Amino acid sequence: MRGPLAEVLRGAWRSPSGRWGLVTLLVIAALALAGPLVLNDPAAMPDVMAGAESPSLAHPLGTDALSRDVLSRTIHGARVSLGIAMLAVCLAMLLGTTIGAASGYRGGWIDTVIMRTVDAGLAIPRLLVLLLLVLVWERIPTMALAVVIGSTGWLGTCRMVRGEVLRLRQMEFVRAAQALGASSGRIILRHLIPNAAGPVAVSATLGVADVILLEAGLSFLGMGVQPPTPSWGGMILDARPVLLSAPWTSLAPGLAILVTVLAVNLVGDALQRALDPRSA
Amino acid sequence: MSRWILRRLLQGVITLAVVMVLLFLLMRLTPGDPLGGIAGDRLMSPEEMQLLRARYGLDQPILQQFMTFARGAVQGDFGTSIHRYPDRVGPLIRDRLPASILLGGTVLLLNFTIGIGLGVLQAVHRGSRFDRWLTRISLAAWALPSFWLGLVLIAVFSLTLGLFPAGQMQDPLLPADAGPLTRLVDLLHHLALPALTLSAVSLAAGMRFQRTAMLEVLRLDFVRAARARGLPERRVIWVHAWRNALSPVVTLLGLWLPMLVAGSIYVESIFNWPGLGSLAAEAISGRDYPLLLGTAMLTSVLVVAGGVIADLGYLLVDPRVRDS
Amino acid sequence: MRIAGLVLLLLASATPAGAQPRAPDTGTIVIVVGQEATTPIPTIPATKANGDIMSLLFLKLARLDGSRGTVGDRGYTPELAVRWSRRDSLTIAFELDPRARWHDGRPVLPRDVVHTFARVRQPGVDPQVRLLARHIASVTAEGDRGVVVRFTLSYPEQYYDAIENLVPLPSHLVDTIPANRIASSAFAQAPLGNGPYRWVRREPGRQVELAADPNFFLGRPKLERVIFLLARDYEAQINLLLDGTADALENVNPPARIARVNARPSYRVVAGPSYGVGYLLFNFKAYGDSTQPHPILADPAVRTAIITGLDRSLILRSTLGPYGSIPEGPVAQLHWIRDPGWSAPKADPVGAAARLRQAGWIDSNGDGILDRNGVPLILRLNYPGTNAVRATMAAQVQEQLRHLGVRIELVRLDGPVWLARRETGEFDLDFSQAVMTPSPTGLVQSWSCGGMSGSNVGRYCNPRIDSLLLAAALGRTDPGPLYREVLRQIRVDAPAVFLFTVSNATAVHTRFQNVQFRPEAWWSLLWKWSVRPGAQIARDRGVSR
Repeated sequence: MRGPLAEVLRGAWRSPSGRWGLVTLLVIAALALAGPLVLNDPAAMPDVMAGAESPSLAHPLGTDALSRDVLSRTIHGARVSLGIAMLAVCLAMLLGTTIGAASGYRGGWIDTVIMRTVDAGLAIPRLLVLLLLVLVWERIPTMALAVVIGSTGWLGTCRMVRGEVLRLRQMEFVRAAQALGASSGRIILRHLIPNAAGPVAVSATLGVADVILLEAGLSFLGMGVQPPTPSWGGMILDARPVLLSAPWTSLAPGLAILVTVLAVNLVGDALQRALDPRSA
Repeated sequence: MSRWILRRLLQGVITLAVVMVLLFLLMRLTPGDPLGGIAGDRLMSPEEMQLLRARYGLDQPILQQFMTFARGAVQGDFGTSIHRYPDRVGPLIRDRLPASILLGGTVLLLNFTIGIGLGVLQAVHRGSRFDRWLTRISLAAWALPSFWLGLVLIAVFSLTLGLFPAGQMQDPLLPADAGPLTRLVDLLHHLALPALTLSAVSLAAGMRFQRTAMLEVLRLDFVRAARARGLPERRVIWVHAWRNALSPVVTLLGLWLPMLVAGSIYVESIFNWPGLGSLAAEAISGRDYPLLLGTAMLTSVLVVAGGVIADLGYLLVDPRVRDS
Repeated sequence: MRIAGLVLLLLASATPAGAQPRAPDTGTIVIVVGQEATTPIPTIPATKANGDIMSLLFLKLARLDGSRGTVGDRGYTPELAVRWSRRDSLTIAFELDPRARWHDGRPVLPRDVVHTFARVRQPGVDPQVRLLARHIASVTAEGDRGVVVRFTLSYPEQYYDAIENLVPLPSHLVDTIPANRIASSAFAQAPLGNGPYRWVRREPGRQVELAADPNFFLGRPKLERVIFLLARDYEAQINLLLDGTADALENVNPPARIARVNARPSYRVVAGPSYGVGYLLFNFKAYGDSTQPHPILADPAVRTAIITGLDRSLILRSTLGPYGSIPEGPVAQLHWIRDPGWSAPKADPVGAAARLRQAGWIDSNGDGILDRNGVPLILRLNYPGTNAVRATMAAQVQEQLRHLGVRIELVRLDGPVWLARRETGEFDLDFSQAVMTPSPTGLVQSWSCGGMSGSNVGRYCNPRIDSLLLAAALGRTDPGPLYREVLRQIRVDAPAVFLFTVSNATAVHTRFQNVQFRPEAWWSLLWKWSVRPGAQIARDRGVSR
């Protein structure tokens, strides 16, 4: 692999904390993919009268108040949480990069209109927008949830990419390409976006962390992932009444969020340092 | 320069106008009848609904509703709350502001003092064990979901150890003639857990911003020059270097200004903190349009104002921007 | 700053009771509530929150004592009226208690009752309120203590209608306020009543404070200070109880919560029957389209299979513990029309599966969901997300029916959307919970064909129910057997899974004695409570903790 992005990635891998984060993420992703094949049915309630049972051999992380297996639900939750994060961030990056690059390259009134709208969008708290948007569905499908989260996450990237493009547009190699008669689409795709790939990668990584926390928060409010699909935020919500008598029901999803987001942040941090070595 | 300021202000005003349109559209896109929950579990007759609809102007054409909203909003009047009829939105928000400002202000204060201080120290001791561990801890804190942290803190510190109250901003029984000191102690006692929850999560940002900025400055010639002149290290760092690494403080001030009112929907509802966050949550679930538009607009105004303040701050702090 | 203003406000509202030496059995109670009372005054349709506070501020002429149901003239305890008599089949005369006083010291007079009735008849009054008093022809004063109520026709619940709908307002204070303005008036912000407690203040979004009226004519309340503390979050409510901020909390029913309360020696759980009933309502019409029959649920076989296939008793035991029971129809524990001989049939998943098979539902593609003619047996169950008990029940319904091959999609909705969906018929099953009035005449709204324009949102219609209910409400014969026949017919027609009736389990601090509740106005007897001598804690002596 060559190019600025590959360089940044290699740089991130060289830092120990970045490596630690990446490995952790890979382990979590592997669990999320393979775990559901071997684990108990996360929705089954074998004995609702038994209440939450503490960890045992049959249930390594115990059961929740409705006798559902906490380990199985946590791992299913990872699948849901990571899936939503990937999808949402891909969408956000796609929107942010395209709109930002086009806006910066074209300039003029289109740029003004887009940037004013972006400013306005950034001025409205994202959680509020999400809480209103998820209400469009009476029972939001997980896929739609990812799309909604993604479609509210591109504004910052858009502004950043536009800034990069404005800077790059003045550079020699872009001028040269223009002089050679390259089309604007080609210049944006071949020259501008690749050179902005580093910052986009950092912004994507931090975006993943944001999305995991947002999704957990929405599910905690009961407005994210819908039952019976397990989700970390939903598990923490369900566990509230038994937080003291059965702490494992809340600790498992809580720590799962913590570890996953931490791993993502470590990667993001390493990327940033690779991109801008002075900040190390 | 004054032309630049004027343009920046105008930009802010335009942004707010767009915000107004976006918010209104967003709210009307979502299904659900704001009059739905108004009678609790009791069902209302169609005539009753019609009467209420007329009261709130919900039977008007949508364009006219927007004009009414926009005219009022410009004057800072958002009309009457639907679910808290007959309370008006203005006074409702005013009632909740002190609680939000108290919580948000405390968190800001902690972030700016502790967060920024630690960030500077980290930069100075770059690469040390202190720096590495603080970086790890701050990354971990950043990864905490605030609602979960709040739940755990309540479970441990108030329900198990009984050290702090599990919610509210003040003891409901505080006697009428309690002295200011009693009140202050009571307030701090109730403030501790929610403030800890919120700042644990946001402190990390301040630290990291400050550390990066400080590192950049420490590398510059004038710092070396100051050291070479034999000035005491503490003076070099806090007077010479830090003054030039203030730009993240300014950025964060702009970024965090909305925290004063927005706080956190999660933390406020978990701790039953009577601030604007819980008011907004209530307004969302009740589709209380006027109330929701009021709280959302207030937050947006602060976001935009924060942006303007940050830009102006740059002008004052950063010599490079100032000169250009 | 704002805090300074708050201090002044607190100083200004110091209670006079604070100045006197305290008896050993007086006290203060802090009650956590989930909803805010904004207009706790009569002649406005009352929410539960408003009703709780209103019942402490405003007395009725008499109160239902629960011994004889709502039919006839007996079974009431005097409140504002000291006695009453029937003049003929259309006329009842009340005599007001000469000791009854408004909190400003003025006597409660017949003209106050007359005024309330006139207000109910004003244009702009809430249609709901007007509807309730529709059979009352006139209310007139007779001398300085007599009130004569005349009805338009002779029917069993005349007496009940009179005392429920003629709650006096202080006419000397409100007679200039039009009916449609009273909710926004200064009077509604600081109401002045005649009950055991008087208004002290409301801190919007936080608390309402009441103080005992030392001159209350039925006896000076021992609990001198009552604070209703607002906490919307279900878990925040119980946290405030367990950390000692509050003394009492309603609806702690789920066993996990009761266990948490009982784990603390300073609290106990007191339960009393209620007028609440919960059921899964079937939609007889297509989802969101009331012109078409429901493609799945119009078939009584499917409805019956769902009812018999669910183990209601298991759901009840795991969510409400000992405080729930299975109702025989849309009736709560307290309704006098219940048939004491009825008991719930056992769950029969095998029979239910067979019934579905007979009706043509089989799993033809092996996906675990039954289908018929290409239509899978998937039903959307709407429920309001605010209530943890209903959420847990819904999750269990989903899981139990999964084993029958019926897939339930849980649709957790915010209160307003949930209610809007009910009205537009956008549900297959709706998890309804109704707090009913003591009078069974309310059945007509939700279970008759005539109710289809209003709250009969499942659009179940059997004309026989309409005629039975009409005869029971306005006929001259004993309505009891007619109501029981209504319930029997509803069971046959299976318009809903009647899931639970519930006792209101209330956590109360152990220092209180003579603790008693009234099902239709839960806290209205607070004035009879007291603190066990020697058990007073700091707050009872007027000291914060």
